Amino acid sequence: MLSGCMAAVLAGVFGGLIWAQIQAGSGHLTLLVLAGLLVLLACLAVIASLVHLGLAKPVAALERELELQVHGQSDQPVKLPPSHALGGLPAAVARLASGSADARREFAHKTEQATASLAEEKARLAAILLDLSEGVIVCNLQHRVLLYNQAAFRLLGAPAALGLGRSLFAVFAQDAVRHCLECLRERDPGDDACRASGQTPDGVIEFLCGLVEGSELFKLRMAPVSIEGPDIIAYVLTFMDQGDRAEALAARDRLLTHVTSDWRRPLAGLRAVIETLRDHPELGATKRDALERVIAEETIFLCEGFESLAQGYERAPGRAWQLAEIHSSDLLNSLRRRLSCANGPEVTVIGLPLWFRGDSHSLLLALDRLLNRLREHTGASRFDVEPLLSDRQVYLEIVWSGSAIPGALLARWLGEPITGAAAGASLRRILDLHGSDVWSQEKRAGWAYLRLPFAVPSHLPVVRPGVVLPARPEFYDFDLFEDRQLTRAAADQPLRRLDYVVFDSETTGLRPSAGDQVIALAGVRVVNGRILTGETFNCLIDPGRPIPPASVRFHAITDEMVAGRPPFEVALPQFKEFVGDAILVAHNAAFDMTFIKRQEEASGLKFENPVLDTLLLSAVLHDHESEHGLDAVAARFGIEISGRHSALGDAMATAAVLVRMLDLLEARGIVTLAQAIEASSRMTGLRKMQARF
Amino acid sequence: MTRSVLVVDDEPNIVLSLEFLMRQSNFDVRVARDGEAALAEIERQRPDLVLLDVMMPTRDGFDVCEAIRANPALKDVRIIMLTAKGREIEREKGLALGADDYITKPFSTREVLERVKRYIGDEAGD
Repeated sequence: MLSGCMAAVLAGVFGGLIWAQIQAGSGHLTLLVLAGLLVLLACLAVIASLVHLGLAKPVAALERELELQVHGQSDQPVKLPPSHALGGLPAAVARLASGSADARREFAHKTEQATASLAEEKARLAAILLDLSEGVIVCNLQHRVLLYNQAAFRLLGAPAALGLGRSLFAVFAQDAVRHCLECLRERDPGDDACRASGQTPDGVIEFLCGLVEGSELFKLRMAPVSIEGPDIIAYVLTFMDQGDRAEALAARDRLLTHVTSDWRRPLAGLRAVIETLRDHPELGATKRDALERVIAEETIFLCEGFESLAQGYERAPGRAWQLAEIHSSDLLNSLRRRLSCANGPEVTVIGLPLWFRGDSHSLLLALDRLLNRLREHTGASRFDVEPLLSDRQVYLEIVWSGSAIPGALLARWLGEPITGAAAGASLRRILDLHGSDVWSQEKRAGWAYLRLPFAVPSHLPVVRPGVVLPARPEFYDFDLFEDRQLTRAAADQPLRRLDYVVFDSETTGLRPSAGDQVIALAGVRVVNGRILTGETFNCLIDPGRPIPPASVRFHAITDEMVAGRPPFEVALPQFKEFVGDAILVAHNAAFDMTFIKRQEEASGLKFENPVLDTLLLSAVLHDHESEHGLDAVAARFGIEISGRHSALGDAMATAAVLVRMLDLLEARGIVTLAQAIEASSRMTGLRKMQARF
Repeated sequence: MTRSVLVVDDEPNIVLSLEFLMRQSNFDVRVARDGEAALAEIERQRPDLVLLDVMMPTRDGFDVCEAIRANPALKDVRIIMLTAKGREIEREKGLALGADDYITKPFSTREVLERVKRYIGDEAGD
């Protein structure tokens, strides 16, 4: 518009100039030029106004409309200017604007719906939580409270410190909670320890925890929360009313009532009789006799009554906190890690893992303290810890090189309080809670032990009974003894002093040549006759083919479990690294070695370690027995193992068998590796022949 | 040869009964009221069997048992522990520390005698 005006003004100016020239009568040329310029200017003016009307104005109008649309201030469709030269642009813009408006409306609608549904879910959850008599608190990984219910608030005594977004540790003592969360995060859902127990690997941990204020102990259960994938994003704590306290008091009440009602009579009788005897020395012999018999009878009655009272009291519910079942591997590995982080004594976990009843956190603290005191007192810095199974107990045995600890010193250690323990308990109190004690003796020349007894779980987790799986048929199509590097030095080593890796594999089937593949490989190290429970290799392997349903009942490994796991060509080199130079041992090793050999060829690896087979050794030792499957051999040696038919469980059982065999082999004159290999080699020949018949 | 028994208990009634009982069975009986006295007596003259109470002040029965077993010269001394605590753990601990047997109070005197005779025989005449 402005340019149009300017053009018009300039035209006027030039018009004036031209007119002046005409008046002044100058030459025609100048006139023509000026006239031309005038025409040009006039044209420019016209074009300018056309542009203005056709483009600038509609564009401005469009811009305004768009602004309104974008800012959601107009629900009307875009108003197009009536005449314009923008071609299809306004229409396209209009479509865009209306599309955007639609999307916005849709979005608002969806949001509304989602919010409503979420609100409904939340209301439902709140209603459920309200109904629960259990206290529930949900926390994130920073231990801030995300959610809690009325029951939790009430059971904790209505603490002011409990609130959304606030730290859990304003209410509960932190050590035990942190420890449990760590345990949950350490646990691998494929963990054999979980599967072995027959429990679902849902990873719920029970533990005792004290409050920040007050000395009450609560029994809490912690469960992980993960939404997608295995990563834990939060945890749920649940706990009950200490109603078991009420039950315990009631039980004790009953015992007392029983005593007060039942014992009056015999006590009264005794008193009467004794007083009579004293006051009347003139009583005849028969009378005397009769009275003395009364004394004897009533005394026996009272003694028996006392025994049953004492037992009733021991067994009364809630007297000792009902302890959770813990797996010795979990506890001892935690201990090992904890000590090594704090530059504490070095702990080697040996022996077969066992289940027992206990509170993980307080035992961790107790053992930590004991080991530190042991190190201070004896100067030893390396300790073996082994769980031992006996008739009615599980013992944890700590062994070191040195002498036993005198009872008086132990008693002193037990009296010391432990920071971080529930309610500042002493070592003595923690052991009392477990119905346990500790004593020290010499183990063998130059070695001493500390032993702590613990209760076994009330029902030992067992592999589902009723289905006795047939033993895997013996496999001999593989020569264990050719091609193995056996240096003179290794050959003459006594078996006891050698390092072994005892391993087992699970496969899709029994025929390596027909395409069966390895789906699990596990091994455990045995050094100096000790099974190093803490040093294991355990790997699920993707076989790259479906697992036949028929084989699943043997190993309980499903396609889902192996999906995404490393293939054998990745796992085997890792296994090789774990093995190093140790002697390989397996039960019916020919079977496992065949699969390994096939992979060796594919990957260009080569295992040159000597191989021993516990099946062959069993045949050498007990050639009169017909059964040499792992189950039969383990039973013969009295080895009980949880987690059978998992690769790690079988490897452990085989390791235990190997360790037991060392003595027997020595008695048979098989002392060195070379001798063992020779005997096994001969036995292979024999068994191959037998198998043919 | 007359066998000798040392009764160690801080409870006078128990001591009275056991001392009488042992004497009646022709055992040579000595008495100690606590752990220290017991060890001193044992040092003075070695008994064949010790009836050892667990719950005693200053040095408890476990301590004394440990001390006895720590001395190789006393390896033939038999130890029967007497205890008022009936828990399994106590029994195990006692046996682990080297006691030969374990009797819970309240006990039958007949039983005590039987056990004592089992360990050190009935040689003392009838």
